[in-house]
Amino acid sequence: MRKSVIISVLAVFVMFSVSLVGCSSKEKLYVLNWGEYMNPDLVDKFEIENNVKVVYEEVGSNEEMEIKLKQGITDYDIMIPSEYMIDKLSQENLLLPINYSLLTNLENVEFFEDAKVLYEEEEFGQYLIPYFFGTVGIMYNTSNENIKTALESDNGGFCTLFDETNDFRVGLYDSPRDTIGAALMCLGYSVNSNNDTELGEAETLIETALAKSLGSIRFGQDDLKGDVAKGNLDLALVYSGDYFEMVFEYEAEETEIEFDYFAPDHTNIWIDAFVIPNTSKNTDLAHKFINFFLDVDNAAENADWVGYTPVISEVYNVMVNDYGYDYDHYYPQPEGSSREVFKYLGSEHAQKLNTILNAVRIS
Amino acid sequence: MKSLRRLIYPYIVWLTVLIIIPFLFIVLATISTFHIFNSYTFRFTFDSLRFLTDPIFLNAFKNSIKFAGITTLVCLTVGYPVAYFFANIKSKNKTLYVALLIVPIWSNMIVRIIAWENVFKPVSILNLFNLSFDMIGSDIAIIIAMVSMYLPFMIFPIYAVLDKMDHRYIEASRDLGANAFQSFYKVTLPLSLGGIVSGIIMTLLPAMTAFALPERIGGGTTILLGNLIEKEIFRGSFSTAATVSFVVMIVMLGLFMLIVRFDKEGETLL
Amino acid sequence: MKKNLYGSTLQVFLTIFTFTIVYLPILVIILISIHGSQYNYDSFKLTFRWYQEIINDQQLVDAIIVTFQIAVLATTISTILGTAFAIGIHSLNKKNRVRMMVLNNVPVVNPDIVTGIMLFIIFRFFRMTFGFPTMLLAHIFFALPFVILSVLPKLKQLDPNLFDAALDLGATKFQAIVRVIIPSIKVGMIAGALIAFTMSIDDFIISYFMKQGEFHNVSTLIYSRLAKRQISPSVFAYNSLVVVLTMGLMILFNRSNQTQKKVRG
Repeated sequence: MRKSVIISVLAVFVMFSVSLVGCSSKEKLYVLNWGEYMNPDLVDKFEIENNVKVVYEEVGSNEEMEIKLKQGITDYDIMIPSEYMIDKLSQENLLLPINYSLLTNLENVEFFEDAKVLYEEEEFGQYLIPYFFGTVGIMYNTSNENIKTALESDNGGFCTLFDETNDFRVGLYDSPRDTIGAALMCLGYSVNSNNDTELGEAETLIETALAKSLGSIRFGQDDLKGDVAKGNLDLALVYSGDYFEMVFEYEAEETEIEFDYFAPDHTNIWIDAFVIPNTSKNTDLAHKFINFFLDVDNAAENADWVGYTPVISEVYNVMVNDYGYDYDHYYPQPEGSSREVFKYLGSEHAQKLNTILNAVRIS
Repeated sequence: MKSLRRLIYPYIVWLTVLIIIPFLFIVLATISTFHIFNSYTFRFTFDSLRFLTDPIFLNAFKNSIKFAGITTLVCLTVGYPVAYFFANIKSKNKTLYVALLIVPIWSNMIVRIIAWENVFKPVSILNLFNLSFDMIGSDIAIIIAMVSMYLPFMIFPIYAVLDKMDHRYIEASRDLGANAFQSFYKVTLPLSLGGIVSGIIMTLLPAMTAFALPERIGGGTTILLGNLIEKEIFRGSFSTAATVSFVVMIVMLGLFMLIVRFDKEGETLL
Repeated sequence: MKKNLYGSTLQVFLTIFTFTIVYLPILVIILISIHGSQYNYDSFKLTFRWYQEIINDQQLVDAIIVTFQIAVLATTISTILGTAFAIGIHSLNKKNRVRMMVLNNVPVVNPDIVTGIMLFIIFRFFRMTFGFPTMLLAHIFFALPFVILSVLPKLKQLDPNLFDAALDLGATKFQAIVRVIIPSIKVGMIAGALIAFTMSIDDFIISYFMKQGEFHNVSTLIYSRLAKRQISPSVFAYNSLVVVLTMGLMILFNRSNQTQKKVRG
């Protein structure tokens, strides 16, 4: 009997250990990115040029990215979070400083103002290389003219999302920073407000809208854009790039476009950037990867596939002049607008926002 | 055949490693700072139990009981007569009819959920028939979708019991003067209790812990225990996820005791 | 026996209701898969391009391959192991058998999400790399109890003396199992294998906890796409193919069963 117990224990362990054996001998680069946020052809090209294997993984939010990094299931070499998450991760000593001498393409490019400020003046600037940027705004369906009128009225903008007197079907982003940020901006406060009274007002605003609204409000993620385009929602909080993605999809399908994007004068501007987490086992290759996407030709090809606005002004010009990206709102910071960048204000603040969003959702 | 007993030792090891040890880990994570991702600190604390009084948890718990309860009730009310009908038809295609209820399960669950999501949105494929619903986020939409997903799981175990049932019992009761209702109530129903209990468990537990379905059909405003677990483990705290799982396991064990009473070897679970 | 007319009308009505509510999503899926536009539903345009596009969607093709690889492997392994374990359980005395079955039924009753977390914890604890091996192990894990449950009743119908007789006649234990026991429990094994295959191919929740990076089965791939963009109708096309094929097989199986019975009868 004892023999069979030993054999069975061994058998189970053999089964477990089979899975521990690696398979490929090629160098590997682990990349953690948002969905639909990098041209796979370029990744293939990078793999061939350097004879490596890129293991690419997608997530849906900054918070998910953070958890994935901290779970430590994979030792990532490259991540592309947004500015406030980079701030947070750098404060927690989870990032490696960028070694600029390895980025030979850096001297050939110039970043747009907002990205440049981030990278030259902020303390966490030494950990990042900007990738794409854009605004947060409202995508709306144009088949109902009242929506546009409401958005452009004095009391419109972000307030249209929370106006309980209209009967629009509204989509809010299932992310505390974005939805509460929109409520704060409607009230005329800063998106980085950490003032309890102001946050309380924002909470009441969302809560009243959810409770009393004549239309319906629901929470979603990147699926909101598709619903606005189809007409299942009248308006929704989206990132500018989401809107462009829908435009390109509809153009490719030769379907009539019945939606548009509205960026209020005062809105949030976000900047996503490459960072190298301290789990990276292959920092040289990670730098090569970043350098690859700093090459203007590669960056333009990538920007055409992704559809978001590139942070490199040379690439932007190529997009507008050669690729014909003369869309409204493509440049996120037109004259006269005020744009605010999210700041990381400590875990207590993040927790507070989380609690607010959870509370309004169950009320 | 006693010499074949040895064959179960690997299974005991397997079940210990994959059920008992993780169960202990979940209990441990609920009552201490134990963490699978960074296990360097360890002390006992009941902090995460405090989450059980948090309005978010209470709301999710209430929703789970509500939606799973109603769904189970509907499934039982509809499923029992249907199982009875299937068990009593005298057709050579009997098994085929029952098997036709399995076919939808072959179709991917997620795709079926998306299909319902489509149906409940105003602009959908139903427009082709001049139909349009706007029901995303409503309770009734979630219940309809849940019934559609779990109804077969109520029918199968009840059908299995009724099909195997010896019809001479019913005939005997009729001969002894019972009317149709009495013989059903006194004979058929008690004999099919095992199937009913299995059916309830196979409907109630998955419905309570569903997360993709309430997420898609609930419009992001209806949160069930499953959503809470999924959210906490991937985007929140491991100990909270463990605590919620622990609660679900308690419910599960309670129901399990019930099944063990009726059917010791789980013959109705298939 | 007098028939209860109201009762049977109600039964027929509820049966129709059941088939309607269970098959409605299937019909919707098939309809979407043959409709020409994914954005516009004003008028119906028949197309099969979504079926052609399945092969252009490399990620989907990979996920389909993974799904079937896992399903076939998990079914084979769990049927073999499950049969062996069932034979072991059957040879226990009554008290221990009930104990084993209680333990065996825990994964059957356990909600998928809890099973997913349990396996996630233990695999993580052993520092295993998530992906194909963990997903396979997980699918074997949840399929095993079902195989055992469907093999055990057949073992009970078996004459216990057969096995000993075979040994007396000079067969080794292995020979006795393969030549004497297996043929009599074949039906139970096939049923168990079918359940295992069905569950593996349909599983989402447990697989969701077992995946990592770009490794996906069909369910997790679709779910991961859900939050990000419109689901291409080619996903629906694939799903329709699976359903139509299954249904066809089932009807064919039923036909051949009947003709067999006729021939024998």
